[in-house]
Amino acid sequence: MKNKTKFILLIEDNPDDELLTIQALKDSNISNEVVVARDGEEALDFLFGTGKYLGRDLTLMPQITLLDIKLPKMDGLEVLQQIRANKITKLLPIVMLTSSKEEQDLIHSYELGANSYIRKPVDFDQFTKAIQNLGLYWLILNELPN
Amino acid sequence: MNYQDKSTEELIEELERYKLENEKRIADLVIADKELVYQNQEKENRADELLLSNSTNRQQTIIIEERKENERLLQGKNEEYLRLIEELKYAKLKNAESESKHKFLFDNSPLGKIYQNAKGEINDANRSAERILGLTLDQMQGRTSIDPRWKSIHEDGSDFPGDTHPAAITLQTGKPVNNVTMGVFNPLINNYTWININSIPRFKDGNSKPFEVIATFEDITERKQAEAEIKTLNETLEQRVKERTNQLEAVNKELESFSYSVSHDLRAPLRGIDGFSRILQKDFTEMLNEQGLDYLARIRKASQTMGQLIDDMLKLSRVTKAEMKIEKVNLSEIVTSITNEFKELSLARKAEFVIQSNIEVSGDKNLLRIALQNLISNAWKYSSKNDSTKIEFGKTIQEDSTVYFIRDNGVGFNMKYVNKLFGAFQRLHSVSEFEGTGIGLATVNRIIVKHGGRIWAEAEINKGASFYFKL
Repeated sequence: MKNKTKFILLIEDNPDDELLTIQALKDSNISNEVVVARDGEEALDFLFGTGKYLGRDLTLMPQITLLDIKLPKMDGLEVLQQIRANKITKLLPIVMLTSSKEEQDLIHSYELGANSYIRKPVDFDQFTKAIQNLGLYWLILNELPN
Repeated sequence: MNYQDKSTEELIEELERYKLENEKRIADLVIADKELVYQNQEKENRADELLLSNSTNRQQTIIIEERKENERLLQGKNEEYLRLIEELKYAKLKNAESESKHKFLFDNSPLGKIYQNAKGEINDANRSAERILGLTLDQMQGRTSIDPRWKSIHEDGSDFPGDTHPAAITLQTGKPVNNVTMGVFNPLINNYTWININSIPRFKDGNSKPFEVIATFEDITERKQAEAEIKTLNETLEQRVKERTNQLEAVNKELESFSYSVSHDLRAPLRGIDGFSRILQKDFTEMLNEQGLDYLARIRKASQTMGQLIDDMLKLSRVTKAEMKIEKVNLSEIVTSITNEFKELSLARKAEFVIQSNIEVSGDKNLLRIALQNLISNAWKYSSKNDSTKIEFGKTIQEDSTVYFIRDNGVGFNMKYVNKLFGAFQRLHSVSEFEGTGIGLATVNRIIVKHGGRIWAEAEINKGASFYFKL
C-alpha cells in the first residue's frame, strides 16, 4: 500500500535504459511501482491528467521522478520547466538521470529547479549503486510536504 | 827818372798821364766792382734759386712718396675689385645655374606648381599643373581662386568654395596650408581630378603680407581609386569574414552537438552492453561455462574502456573550448592537494613527495589544475611498480626562463618516441602494462599551449621521467 502510493515516475525513451533502470531498482531491493513515460509529452499528460491520462487521479503523484534530458519531441529540460510552472506539480522532486555531463545541462537543470543531477555511469555496478543511493534517499529518507 | 832832371812840364805831363792812368784804373775798378756786384748778385740769385729748388725737391720727394703709397693702396683696391668682380662673375654664373636648375625643376616636376600674385591672380604654372588641371597656362593666366570657372569639390562631394582654397587662405593669413584634398574638374577628361595641395607664402623683407603664393599639388586620383578599391575589398572581405564566421560558428555548433551526442548517445548503448552483460553474469551464471563468463567479463571491460575513452575525449575538447580566466595561481598548493588525494587513495604505498613551496604563476586555475592532475597522475601511475615512489615538483631556470617540472622515479620511456608523447591517443605503454587512453598528455599539452607555453619531457627507461613546462 505504502509502496503503491510512493511510486516512481521514470521518463526515459531508451528501452535498454528503461530495462536497466528497473533491473537496478530491483537489484537495490526497491520494490516501489515504476510508471514509465517514453517521451516528454506522455510524461506531462500523466502528471497533468491530460491526453491519454485524462481523468487520472491527480492526488497520486510520484514520490520521485527520474527525468532523462535527451528525449524525443520535448526534451527533459522543457519537461522540467513545465512541471515547475504548474502549481499541482511544482513541488515534485525531480532527479535528472542522464548521460550528459555537459556543464551547461547541469547548470540549466538546477536553474530550472531540478532537485538532483545524476549521470548514468557505463559500468552497471556503479549504475546500480547510484540507483540504490537515490532510492534510499528520495524514497525513504526524504520527507515531502503533504 | 829823376825829378830834378825833368821839366815841370814834363812832370805835369807825367802827372797827367798818371792821372789818366789812374782814372782809367779807377774806371776799370769800378767796372770790375760792378761786375763783382753783379756776379755777387748773380750768385745770390743762384743761391736763392738753389735754396728754392732745394725745398721743391724735398716737397717733390714727399709727394712722390705719397704717390707711391697711393699707388700701393690703389693696387690693393684694384686687386680687391678684381677679386670682387671674379666673385660677382662666379655668383652670376651660379645664379644662372640655379635659375636654370629651378626652371628645370619647375618645368619637369611631377608636382603641379602655380604662382599667384598678391591679388591672387595666377601668373605662372608648370607643365604638370597644366596636365593635372587640364588647362593651359594661357587659360589659367590671371585667374584667382574665386574665379567661377573653377569647379572644385570636397572628398564627400560637397562644393569647395574658392575663398576656402588653400592658396586663398595662405594669401589671407600669410600662413602655409598643408595636405588639403580637393577634387578639381578637369575639362580634358571631363571628370574630377583629385589633388593634394600645399600652399606656401613668399614675403619681401619686412612685409607681413605675402607678395606671392605658391600652390603645389599632386595628382592623387589613382591613389584615391586604389583606396576606394581597397575599401570595397575590405568591405567585401568583412562580409566574407562574416559569412565565414557564421559558417565556422555553424560548424562549431555542429561539433558541439556532435560532442554532445558522443557524450549522450554513444554512452547509452555502452551502458546497455555493460548492463546486460552484468545481468547475464549475475543472473545466468549456471547457464554459462567459464569461457562464456570470461567473454562476458571482456565485453564489460571493453565497454567500460570505451566509456572512459569517450569521457577523456570530451575532456580534451572541453579544454580546447574553455575560455581562460587569468589570475595568480599557486601551483605548489594545487600539487600538494592533488598528491594528498593520491596518498589517501593508497595509504599502503610507499611514496615520497618533494614539493617546492610558493611557486606562483598567472594562468587559468582550473585548466592548470587539470594539467597538473594529469602529470601527477602519470607520475603516480608509471612509478606504481617501484618499491617506493618519489615524485618531485619544482621550478628551475633553463636558458634564462623559468621552467616548472614534475619528476618521477618510475619506468620512464625510450626518448626515441618522445615526439609521440603529446599526441592524442598515442601511448608508449600497452594497456596490460599500464592502463590509459592516451588523452592525458594531449590535454596537458593543449592547456600549456593555451597559456602560450611549451611542454617537453626527458626520460630514460627504468630511470624515471621528467616533464618540463614553461608558461
